[in-house]
Amino acid sequence: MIQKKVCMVGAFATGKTSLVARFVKGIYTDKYQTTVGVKIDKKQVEVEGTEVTMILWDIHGEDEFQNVRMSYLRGASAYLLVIDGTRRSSLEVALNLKAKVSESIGNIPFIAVVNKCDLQDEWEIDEKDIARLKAKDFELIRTSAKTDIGIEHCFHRLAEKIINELPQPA
Amino acid sequence: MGDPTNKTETLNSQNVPTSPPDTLNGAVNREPDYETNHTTDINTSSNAAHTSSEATDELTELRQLLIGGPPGDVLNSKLTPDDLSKVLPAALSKAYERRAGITLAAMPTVETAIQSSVQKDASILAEALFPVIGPATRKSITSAIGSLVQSLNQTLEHSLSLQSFKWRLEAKRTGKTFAEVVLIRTLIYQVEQIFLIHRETGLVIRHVVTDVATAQDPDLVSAMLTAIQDFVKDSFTVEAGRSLDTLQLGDFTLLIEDGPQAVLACVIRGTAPAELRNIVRSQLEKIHHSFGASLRTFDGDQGPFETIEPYLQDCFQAKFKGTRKKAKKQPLSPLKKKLIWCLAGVIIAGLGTWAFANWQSNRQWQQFVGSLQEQSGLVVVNEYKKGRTYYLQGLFDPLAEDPEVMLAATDINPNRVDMNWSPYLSLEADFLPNRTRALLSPPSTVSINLNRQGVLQVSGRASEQWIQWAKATSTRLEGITAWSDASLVSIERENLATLQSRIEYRRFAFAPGKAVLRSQKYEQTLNNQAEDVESLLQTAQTLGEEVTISIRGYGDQRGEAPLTLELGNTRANYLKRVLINQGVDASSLSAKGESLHSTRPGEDSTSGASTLDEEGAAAYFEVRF
Repeated sequence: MIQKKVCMVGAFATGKTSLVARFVKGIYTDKYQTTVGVKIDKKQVEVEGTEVTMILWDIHGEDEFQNVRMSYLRGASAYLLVIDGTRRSSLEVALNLKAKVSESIGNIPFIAVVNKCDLQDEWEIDEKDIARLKAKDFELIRTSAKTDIGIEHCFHRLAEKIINELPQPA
Repeated sequence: MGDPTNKTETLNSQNVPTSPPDTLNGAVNREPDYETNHTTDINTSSNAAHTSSEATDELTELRQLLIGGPPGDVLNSKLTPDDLSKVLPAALSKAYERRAGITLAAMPTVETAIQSSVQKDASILAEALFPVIGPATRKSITSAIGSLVQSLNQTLEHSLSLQSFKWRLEAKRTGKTFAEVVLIRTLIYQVEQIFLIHRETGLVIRHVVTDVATAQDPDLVSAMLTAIQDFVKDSFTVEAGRSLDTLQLGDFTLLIEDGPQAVLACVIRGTAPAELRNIVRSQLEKIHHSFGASLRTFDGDQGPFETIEPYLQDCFQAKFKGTRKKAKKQPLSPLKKKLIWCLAGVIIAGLGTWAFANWQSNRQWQQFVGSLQEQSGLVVVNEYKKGRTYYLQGLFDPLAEDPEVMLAATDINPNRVDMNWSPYLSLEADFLPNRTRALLSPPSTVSINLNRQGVLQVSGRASEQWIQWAKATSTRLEGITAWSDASLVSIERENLATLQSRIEYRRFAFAPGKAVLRSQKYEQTLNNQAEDVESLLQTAQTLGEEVTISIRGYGDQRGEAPLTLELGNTRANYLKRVLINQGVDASSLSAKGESLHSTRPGEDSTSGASTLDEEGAAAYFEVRF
């Protein structure tokens, strides 16, 4: 059994905590709770016969008042870059964060998650944006913590990336 | 050496008379490489022997070389260390099997070797022994704590103290066992958990926890601790290389020792001494030294750190309260403690009883004094308590109720009372009737009542003598103003009146014309009359009364007047004479004849003698005072 540190990174209110709650505890609440500092959770997944314990660092979201501290990402094996589909600004924040992470801790595996796909009608992010990300070789997964879409898949895929140490886009 | 084939070989070789020492031979047989080589050599040599005698010598020489000459000649032979090294392991095994004293022989060498090794570099042996020492130490500590808990439990389970009550309460409240609470409360400090955390990732490498502590998920704790470290470092301007080293919350201290690759965090209950940090630091250094490479390449796999636990075990430290004190002073045995408590209980109970008894006897005494003061004819002048004795001084009217009797009626111990009474006369109004009554001692037929005006009202029947005496005495008494005897009857006077009426009632009838009583019946009446007259005279004399008894006699109705009178006179005198003869004083008697027309006392004058007596009664008596 191996342990891996995995971080949740993204703008504020993109649904990082909800993704973790859905993934770890299988629950969802509409009530918004801002994360102060870090919340830690863990979940075990099995990838190709290997038990991987994911220690999930749910880091507070980036907004105009506080930046994500790169020190929290130190030692992380991978991260989920969470984007709120209903807010274009969260995409820009995500791209900035991705650059910051690469700069401070290097190119570690990550998956870009476009959350809140249950609200697809209200999405500000369109196919053009998606294409732009795909052009950067981003692995993109649409999720909804509310309706439990893509959650297991995105975390599982992340674990696979960690185990197989797939080459990362710069 | 259980192989039967080998054994057989050994036995066979022994049967060969020229065989060299068993040890070597046996060993040779069991050394396959050697044997193979040897066989090849021999075969080669024997081929040569066929050609020359020189070769036979060579064979002998070779034989000597290989299997040795006569005993003790091994050193002289040309056996090389290389050869010996090949047979030595087998030789040692053989020696051990035969119990040939090899253990004893090897002991000094082994001891010296260990000693040299320790002197040279202790860490080599230490490292080798770590995996063994760790679990052994842990087991020993666990069992020591376990037995400590048990003995504490036993001692405290049966002991009684405020502290143990508090602990018991805490145990109930927190759901822990009593022993656990005692252990926690008597502990100065104990390292309960140790986290070895990978510094870079915050992943836990190893987590160790004592049996008595309860631990949360070490993975989460470890990650959170790292996050807190990061948070503190980011939030406050701290010197590079410095980090959070202590966290404190209530009873708990989290001691964090930061190393280049790993962080050692100890959860301590209680107040840890400063030395503990040194121990933790030194252990962390050792860990870095021994596992440096594994730490650097740590990828979340705990596998390479299986043997790290002994290093962490050294950080488990605990110290209990009172261990030093106990060494100096033997703790009281439970029996002694019980005795002390019993004694204290008895003393407290005794004091309580004494205080209550004292309070009660004081109360009884005061009640008694109160009742004395209420009593007429008793005056309490002074009363006090000295030591255990109650003292009382007072005035006592002899007619009042006896204070000693009153005391006896109470629950007060008479031996604790000293009363001193002086006699006096009480003039209290409600006390006067008693005094009067006591003084006059009236007969039971008399009742005495003293009214408010001081008039003594006496009623009933009493002897004339007592009446006279009482009348005279009472008027001299203080508080009595007058004597009233309106309803008091004198017994003597009553008798006098009775006698008088009886005497005057009797009638005496005579034979016609004669001064002789008509029948025997009248003679008996006359006898009774004589007794009564005697009594009357005596009673009258007692009372000081002068009495005259007149006997009046009448003649017959049909006779002549002068004759009748004469006959009456004779008859009266006859009766007088009879009385005198019976002892009645003659001076008190007078006899006189009466005419028929004269009226007798108590009779209607008009009825005359006609009513006198149908039988012709002709005499009666009259008493005059």
